[in-house]
Order: sequence, then structure tokens, then C-alpha cells
Amino acid sequence: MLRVTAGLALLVLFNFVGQLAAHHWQLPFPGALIGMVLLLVVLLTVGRRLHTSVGAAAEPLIAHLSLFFVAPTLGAFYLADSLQAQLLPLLATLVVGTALAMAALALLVRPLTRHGRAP
Amino acid sequence: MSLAASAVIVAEQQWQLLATTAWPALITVAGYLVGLAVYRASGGNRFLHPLVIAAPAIYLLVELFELPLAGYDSGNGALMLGLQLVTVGLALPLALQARYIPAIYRPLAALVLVGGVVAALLAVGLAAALSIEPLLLRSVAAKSVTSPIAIGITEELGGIVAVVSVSVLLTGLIGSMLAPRLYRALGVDDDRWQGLILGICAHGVGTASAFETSRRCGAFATLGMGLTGIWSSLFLPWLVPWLLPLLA
Repeated sequence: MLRVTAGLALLVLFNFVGQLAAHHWQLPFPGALIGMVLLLVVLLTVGRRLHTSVGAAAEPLIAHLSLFFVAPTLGAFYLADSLQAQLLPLLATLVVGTALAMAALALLVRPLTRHGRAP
Repeated sequence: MSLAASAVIVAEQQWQLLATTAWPALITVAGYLVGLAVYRASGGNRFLHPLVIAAPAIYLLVELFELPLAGYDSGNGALMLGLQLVTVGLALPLALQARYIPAIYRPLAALVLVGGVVAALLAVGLAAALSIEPLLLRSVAAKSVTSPIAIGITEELGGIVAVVSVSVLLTGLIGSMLAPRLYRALGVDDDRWQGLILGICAHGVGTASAFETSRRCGAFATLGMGLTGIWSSLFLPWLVPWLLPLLA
């Protein structure tokens, strides 16, 4: 329990620092993302001992990641009216765009890994 | 403005997220639990992703009982704060994957750098070709980015958060469904690259399906998802405003 509390406190702290940086310097990145990068740097350098407490707080949250998208997704239902004519082109964009992007990367794998030591 | 003054404003904003939390948060959690129960009962059928059930269920509930929607967003403040915290928490899986990077950093970096840009260019380009309106173009640019980061980026781009949330979810589902056939057809048989591409193109949902292939596949998907999120938040705020006038 102490681990969870300590981990949660770290998440709140790094989020705050990230939000503060984004707000104060008007950075074009989400504050939470800045917090994530800062925490990543700390975890990889001076904060190796923090892995367990951050994990105790972060892993249950990550396990229920979808919970945090329910409210934002709900808004889409109230957009349906304004979207109507654009709905099909939008779906086509998502399907074709995702398929082409994955195919492009799949075709890149071989030329990228052929030279030198195979990973 | 001094840093201290900014700190007070940000602290107040964070506090407001908690202070305005009310009954809508309960409805959201209840809807999610129903979605999760259905998803688990189906044995993890990807078409029954918790979000696919939860959002329509809440919509029906709100319509049926004519609940006031005005306070829905602010009432979910605690969950918005949760979204920020879980985004910060993604640092942990990334830190745990870091040891894989040195041996293969060259192809890995190339795939992430190219993949993020290609996914965004295709999304915005195709949407423009199908004459989708500019506001929606801004909202699909981040479709391949993991939701917590995609939402932040889309707010930055001036798009619609609800549209990108749904687009991200659908992209994840589409990517997971296409992956096995695509990899077979194009001869990608190494589970590390299979995972990485899923993570780059289909973020969290793709990562979940990558873990079904193997642990290593899932680990690389996590890596692809995280790096693409960071990379996209760097280039999308510059790329999209530059791209839109060219497509108009």
C-alpha cells in the first residue's frame, strides 16, 4: 500500500512538473507527455530503485487504460449529426491509411535489417 | 509571468479536475465495468473491446433517462486527471524495454521515424483526397498515436478530441485484424518487427494483440507505441499546420 501511495505521488509530481513546463513556456506538447519523458529519464538514470513503486501505481492504471477513454469517446455520439456525410470517407481513411502504413513498414523491414549484423 | 505564478495556476487547474468530479464519473466507471465484463466473457474478442460496449451503453443510459449532459465532462474530472497520470506512468514499460534498444537501434529508429510520419501523412492525405473538412483533418492526424498522447496532440492541433478518440480506437482494431494476413503476405516472420510495426501503427490495441503472439512481440509493440507517441508529439504540431494549406 505504501508502494502504491509513493508511486502515485511520483506520478502526480511528474505530471505537475510536465503541466507546469507546458504552461509556463507555452510548449506545443501535452504536459503529461513531458512528465512521462522526465520520469523515463529519471527511471533510466538515477531512479532505478523507483521501478517497484512506480510500477505498483502505474501497472493497475495501464491495465485499465480504456477506462480513461470512455468519456472522450462518448462525445463522438453527439457529433454523429455533424459527421453524417463525412462518416464513410472517415472510415475509409482509417482502414486504407492503416493498411498502407503497415504494409509500407513491413516492406521496409528487410532492406533495413539486411546490412550488417542481423538483429 | 513568474514560474511561481504559473505553478499556482497549474496547481489550481489540477485541483479543479478533482473538485468538479461528480456523478457522471460513476456512470463512466459503471459503463466501463459492463464493457470489461462483456469483453472478458467473450474471451477477449477484439470486436468487443470494452470501449465498443461502454460508450454506446452510456449513450443509451443518458438518452433513456434524459440525464443532463452539460456537466458530463467536468463531472469526469478525476478520470481526466487519471488519463494524465497513466500517460506519465507509460514511462515504466518504456524503461523496462530500454535494454532491447542498443542491439537494433538503427532499424528500430528508422521504422519509428518513418512510420510515424507515413501514418500521419496517409491519414491526412487520404482524408483530404476524400474531401473531408479541415477540422476533421486535424482530428485524424494523430490516429496511430496512443490515446493519452493523441488527445493531447489533437487539443494542440485544434481538432475534435471525440473524433480522434474514436479514430484511435478503430485504427487499433483495424491494425490488429490486418496484421496476421499482412505479415504472411509480405514475409515479416520475426516477431520483434511484427510487434514493433503493430505498436507504431496500432498503438495499445495492437500492443495487446502483439502480446498474444509472444512476450517479445508485445515488448517490441510497447516500445513502438511509446516511441511513436513521443516522436508524433514532436513533429505533428509542426507538420499539420504546414500540410493543411497545401491540401486545401
